[in-house]
Amino acid sequence: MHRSLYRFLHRFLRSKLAAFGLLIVATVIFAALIGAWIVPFDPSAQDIMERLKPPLWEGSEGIHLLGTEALGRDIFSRLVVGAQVSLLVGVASVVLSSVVGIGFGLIAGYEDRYIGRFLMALTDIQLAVPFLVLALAVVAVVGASLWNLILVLGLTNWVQYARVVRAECLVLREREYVQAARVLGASTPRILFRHLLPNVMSSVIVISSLLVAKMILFESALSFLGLGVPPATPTWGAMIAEGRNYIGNAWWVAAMPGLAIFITVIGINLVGDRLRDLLDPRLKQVEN
Amino acid sequence: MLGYVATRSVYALAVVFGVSIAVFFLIRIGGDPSALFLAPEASLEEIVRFRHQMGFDRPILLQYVDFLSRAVRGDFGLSLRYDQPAMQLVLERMPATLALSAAALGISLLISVPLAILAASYRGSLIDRIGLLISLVGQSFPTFWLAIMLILIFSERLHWLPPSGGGSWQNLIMPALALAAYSTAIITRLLRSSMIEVLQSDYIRTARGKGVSNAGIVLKHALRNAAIPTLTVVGLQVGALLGGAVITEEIFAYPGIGRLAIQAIDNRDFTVVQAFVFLTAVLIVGINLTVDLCYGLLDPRLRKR
Amino acid sequence: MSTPVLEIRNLKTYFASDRGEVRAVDGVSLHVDAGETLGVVGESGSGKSVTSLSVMRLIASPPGRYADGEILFEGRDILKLDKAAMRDLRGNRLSMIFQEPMTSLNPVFTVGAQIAEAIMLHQHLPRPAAFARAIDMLRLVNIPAPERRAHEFPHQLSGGMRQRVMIAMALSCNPKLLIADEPTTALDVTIQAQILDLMRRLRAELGMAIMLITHDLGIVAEMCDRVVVMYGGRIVEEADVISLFDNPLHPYSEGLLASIPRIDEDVEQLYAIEGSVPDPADRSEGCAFAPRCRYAFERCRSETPVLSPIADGRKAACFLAGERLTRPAVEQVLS
Repeated sequence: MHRSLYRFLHRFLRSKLAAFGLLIVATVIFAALIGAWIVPFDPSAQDIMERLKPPLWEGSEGIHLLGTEALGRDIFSRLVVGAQVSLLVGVASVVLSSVVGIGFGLIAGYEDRYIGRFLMALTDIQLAVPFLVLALAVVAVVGASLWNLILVLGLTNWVQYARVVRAECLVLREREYVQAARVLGASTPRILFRHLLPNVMSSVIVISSLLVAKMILFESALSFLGLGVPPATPTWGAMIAEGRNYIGNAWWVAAMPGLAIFITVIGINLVGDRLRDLLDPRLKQVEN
Repeated sequence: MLGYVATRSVYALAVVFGVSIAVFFLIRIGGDPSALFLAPEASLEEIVRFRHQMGFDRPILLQYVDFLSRAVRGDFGLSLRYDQPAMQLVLERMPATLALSAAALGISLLISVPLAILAASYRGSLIDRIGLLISLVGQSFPTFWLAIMLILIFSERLHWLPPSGGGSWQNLIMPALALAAYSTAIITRLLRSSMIEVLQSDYIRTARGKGVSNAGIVLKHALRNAAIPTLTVVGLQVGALLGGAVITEEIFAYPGIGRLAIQAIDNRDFTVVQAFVFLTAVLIVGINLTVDLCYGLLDPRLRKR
Repeated sequence: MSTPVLEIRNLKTYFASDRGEVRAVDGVSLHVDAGETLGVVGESGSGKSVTSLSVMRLIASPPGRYADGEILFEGRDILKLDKAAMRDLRGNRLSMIFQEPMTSLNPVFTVGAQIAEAIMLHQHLPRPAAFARAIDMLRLVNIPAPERRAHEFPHQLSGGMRQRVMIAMALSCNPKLLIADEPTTALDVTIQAQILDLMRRLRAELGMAIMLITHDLGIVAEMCDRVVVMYGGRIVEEADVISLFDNPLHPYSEGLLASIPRIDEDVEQLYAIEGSVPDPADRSEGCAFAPRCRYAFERCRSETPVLSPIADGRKAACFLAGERLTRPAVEQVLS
């Protein structure tokens, strides 16, 4: 197992772009895990004298690498700490949506007749409501908090899992070994989890990696609109929203967090694309 | 073919019905919907009166039947803020959003289709690399950030375009560009990969064997086949565009349904939110139904008699 | 002797791969005379399909390239033609039918339109006239109700029907040479026989030459005048059909013949050639067939035999070919 993982990593890194993506992802994870202890400034320390200082290369004589925002807080430090929320929301919501989506997909793929049709109709209903609209409305109803955010994101993005897993199950269940297991009296849950689930995992991994990137974008959008994590915690989306008011005289306040999102998402997408190429060349069919 | 149209239409209706249930329960997830509409400091008496006025004190099934029968007629109740029918408010803003989404989709297709065709025809070339870069970068931007950066560059610095408002074509350019980025990336990527797959197929070899020119191979024989899987995604992108329009409109203060929806959420004006969600869903279902039917035109294998 | 329709001289078609250059076709020379049917036989991987695709210049480049040689079609080297001139030939005086009738037709166009396309391209007829000619072609290949069928899509036709459509398309501009790459392999036996009958009849009616690529010697016996046997990207034997079946000079041909099931002999077990086709990326010294050859001796492993004339109209690339030509008939029967 170790050796095959090592060999996979070796193949993975053969693409320079993917290696670059992995480096970005590792950096962001590092920032999220221990960034809070090593940042140069307290991310919430206000300093009115130092407000809206430009980044160093803009000729500022200050000490703030990426400049400061309206309350004089250090942008770089806030970005590093902001990685926490982005990653936490990204990963947790993907875990949630994968559980829901895989569950639906397995059942719909194995029991094609009524439950399957019904579940697929659910995916169509889900797709009919633009995600952002639904998430906005739901957060507005249930109130904004970290867990509500994860819940909303997780419960509104399972469609792709369900569709891909179902499509693969429809093929898999006709395979001899599944038929044999059924004839030998294996229970439905056993067939689903022992025989079908392991075979859809590579698709699941690929979808998940690309979905984390999307979730980070969604999270930032909701935070931007003030419907994300409460303002005490720095988040990239909320930082852009604050910076938007100073776009005329302090462009960096809005630009920097956006770049942080952009770089993070590109890194994750590069990793996801490589995983797709290596694990499942067919999966390109089902992207959206 | 007629059977196909009928089945798809019935299914679309079923989906809209499902959406109506979702919209109905949307404001009831947290329990008593009165709490959403009224300010927190509302007195008990006010709440009771409001509940009765809105019918929230009746049995839930009855409420739904009532909701559905009115929804079918486009009646979602009055906007509490504007004192106008909610649906009418949404419909008034609809044309602006449709113009924005159509402009964005147009830009996406104008860039992505030629780019994907060239990239697939000249694999590994410069144009292919550009295509891959665009499809990677385009889906990694937060739309709202791109919008703000466009304002920074074209309004604050260059003073070419108005930063906000609606009504003229200048107001449409930046929102449409911001909104188009993601769809451009997705469509480029998908069309490129399906073109590559199609170009390797046996029937393309047959066409070459017949003496068809390169342009004929790509534009006539390959594109139509590659368009089939791409069309689904274009259909799904309409949903993404309408969703993205919400945030784009907010940033550019563009007077469409997205901005209306965000204001409605801010104002706790949930009848408008319901009307908005429902109408958007109907629109998306309608577009996807059209896409499904277009399949029949593109792919004769679906045209069963 | 008049010039042959097709003459291939020392053709080398190579492909780039991760493991170095693969010599799929490595110095093939052959010719097809007017009105003649030449069989090209060999196992998969022997280079026969690449040879035929090379003649059509349908080798994708990269990874493929024509490393050396000439392909003279009606006296002109088509490897030197520009793309437009090559397109003028394809589907016109030089045409091809492919292995896979199920996937070789474009699913989104009617079969009539697909046949008419070639006619419009090469004979510059307006669409209605081309379509009418397409219907005539469908009739020629014995498709019932051709007027109706012409308006149908490939998925509405059976495999045998689709191969008829492919033949109609290939013959629509009266080719001088038809290349048929395993035209019946994907079809079941009765349909196979019908398609072969059809090809024989059309050959007689239209007088074209055919280069028939197949792994099935039964088809060769039925259809061909002459045969070349390919192995590992090279020709190992060339002969007229009767001589080859009578006395195969190359041990590989002998093995192929012995592996045909025959109804006139009661054989307990069908013969199969031991081993498998050599890896085309692997180029070591000696005869490529030596590792599988029951007659191989020292010299076969150190020196590569070249294709040389053995008797009138017969060539073989085997050191034993001379002896084998004169061996008594009894020895030819395999144990």
